Amino acid sequence: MMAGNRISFEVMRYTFIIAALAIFLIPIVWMTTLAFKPVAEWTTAISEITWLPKNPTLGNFEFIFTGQTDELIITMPNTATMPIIASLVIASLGTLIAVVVGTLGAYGVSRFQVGNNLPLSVLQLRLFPPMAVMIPVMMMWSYLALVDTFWGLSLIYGIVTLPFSFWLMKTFFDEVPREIEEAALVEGCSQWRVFYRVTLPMVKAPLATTVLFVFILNWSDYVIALLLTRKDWVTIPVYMNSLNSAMTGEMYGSKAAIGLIAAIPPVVLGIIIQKHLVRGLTFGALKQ
Amino acid sequence: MSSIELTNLTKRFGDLVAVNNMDLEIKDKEFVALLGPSGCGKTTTMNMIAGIELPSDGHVSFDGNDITNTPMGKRGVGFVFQNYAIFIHMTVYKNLAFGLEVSGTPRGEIDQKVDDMAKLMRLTRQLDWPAERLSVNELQRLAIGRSAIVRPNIFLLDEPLSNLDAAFRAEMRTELKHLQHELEQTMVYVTHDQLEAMSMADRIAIMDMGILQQYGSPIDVYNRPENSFVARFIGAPSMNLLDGRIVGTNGSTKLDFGDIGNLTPDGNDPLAQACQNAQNSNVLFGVRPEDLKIQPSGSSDQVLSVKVTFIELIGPRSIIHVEGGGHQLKVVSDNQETIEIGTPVGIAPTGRTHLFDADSGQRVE
Repeated sequence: MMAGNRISFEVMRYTFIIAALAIFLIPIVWMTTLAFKPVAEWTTAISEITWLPKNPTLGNFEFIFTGQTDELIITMPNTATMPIIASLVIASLGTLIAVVVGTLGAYGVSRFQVGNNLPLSVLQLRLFPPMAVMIPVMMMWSYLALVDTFWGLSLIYGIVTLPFSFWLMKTFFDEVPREIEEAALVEGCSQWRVFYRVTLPMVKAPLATTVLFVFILNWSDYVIALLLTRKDWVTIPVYMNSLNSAMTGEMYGSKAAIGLIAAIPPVVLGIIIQKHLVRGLTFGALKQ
Repeated sequence: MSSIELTNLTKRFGDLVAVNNMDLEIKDKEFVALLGPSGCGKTTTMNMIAGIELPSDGHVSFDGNDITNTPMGKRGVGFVFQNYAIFIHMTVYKNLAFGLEVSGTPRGEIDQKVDDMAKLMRLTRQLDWPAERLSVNELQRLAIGRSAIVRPNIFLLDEPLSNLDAAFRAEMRTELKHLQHELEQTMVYVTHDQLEAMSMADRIAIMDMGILQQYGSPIDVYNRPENSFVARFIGAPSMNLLDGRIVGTNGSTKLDFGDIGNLTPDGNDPLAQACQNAQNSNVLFGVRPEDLKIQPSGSSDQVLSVKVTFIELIGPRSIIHVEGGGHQLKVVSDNQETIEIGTPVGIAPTGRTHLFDADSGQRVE
């Protein structure tokens, strides 16, 4: 009897998990299959829905990387290669700026009671939607010749995501007990060495979480990149939007192909730092 | 050589005076306990010796050299924190080696010293473990080992035993004392546990509300408390302090306790002299529960009449709680005779007694 209950509970549990997964995964599955469908299967030319590609093709990938494919009569002057590189470089650099500045700033504020209202001023950067200030930023960036450069876009990404990294890291630093640092200082350690030998390793897991979070924000930005790039440093989301033509309309197959590629870096990054994400915060050195 | 001298040491946090005008002199190789209730300023005092806090006023000197403004890393002190402050992201070995690595000790020497310290602290088996896997007792030994390994001349310990279980605490008390002899260090030990202070320290500095109340050997503070706070704080069960008044009649003085009776000190008793000196004033009469004896009710004129209210068994002895005339007292009895709750009994001092001024709390002699 008991065993029977147990089994039916497990069956229900797994049914629920699979149902939930199916709902969450539909968009991803749809994008993946779409990327391999020939044009006929994603246009309205045929009046039926195909779940799996009937005639799987790499034509969509061929089109975005070479600008042409046998299946389409149109050609694209811009391939996806440069936008992929641009997105990787800019999102990484923006993340680096936000995390390095945010971490050092947060440490200073958390440990040395400096900055008074600085934490709130940093937060203020997020109080309004970035769009609200993007026109003045566009003018400044254009004056500084930063438009359509990788450093220009990285810089604004670093600034826009700084509040996240700063506040996340500040919260984590606040939780590192002061005594741990004092113990190292008493041993004759310099403050700088305490930071990178003792404190930073202790917040390794939160730091990894912050990196992933900020990277995903930067990686998926569309609006800022749209306003601050022209052609040389167009990023994936902006490039994706350009995949249409007067003749074929929105090129969903190609969009799905670049979308699939765009999903790779966050997933890979997530897998790399998964250990830290799962582990979370363990400040067990102190008996509270 | 490492003596410590605190002069007029004061620490204010806003309006709060954590440590008030403290003078303390700790000799080389001496084991001094800073004892007091929570919030009495003992940890703040310790932090100022280590340099973690800077004094608002006054000076800290080591061997006569003023080090008040010397940064903590340059003072050459070892500090064991109450919560251990172990670097959990490192192995036990790395934790032990930390101080030596910071000072640039050659690798071979580090290995040797870490091995020796691990043996002393019984951590050899755990050397390669991440520190987070250690038990509380092991963390404690690691915390002491990590500070001791650099052989600081001055070793500061902030309630290091407060998180341990009772059996291990007793063991560590002995070991710490042993360690101090072995390393020949000046040791300052913060605790709120008077038993720890009494059993380990050469001298005890008792603090309350930021003020040093008494500084002396354990025997000294036990037998001759300077004021009623020290009298109450040292000893378990704590000293009985009875409100009384000294009245003189027919050339002799007696201690009047109202409804429960009075005591007339014997001429040879130091108490008689003290009573003479405090004629017609309100006093606190102190007597330890061990120095009181239960007697049959009304057996002599040196007996205070009280009633038994509660009996607490503590192993071979018991603490008899008695009450009378608004006074509550404790008597330690060796269980020779059976006493029942509610019985009227007499109690008489059989040993050392103390007299304190009722207003100032200061000892009267």
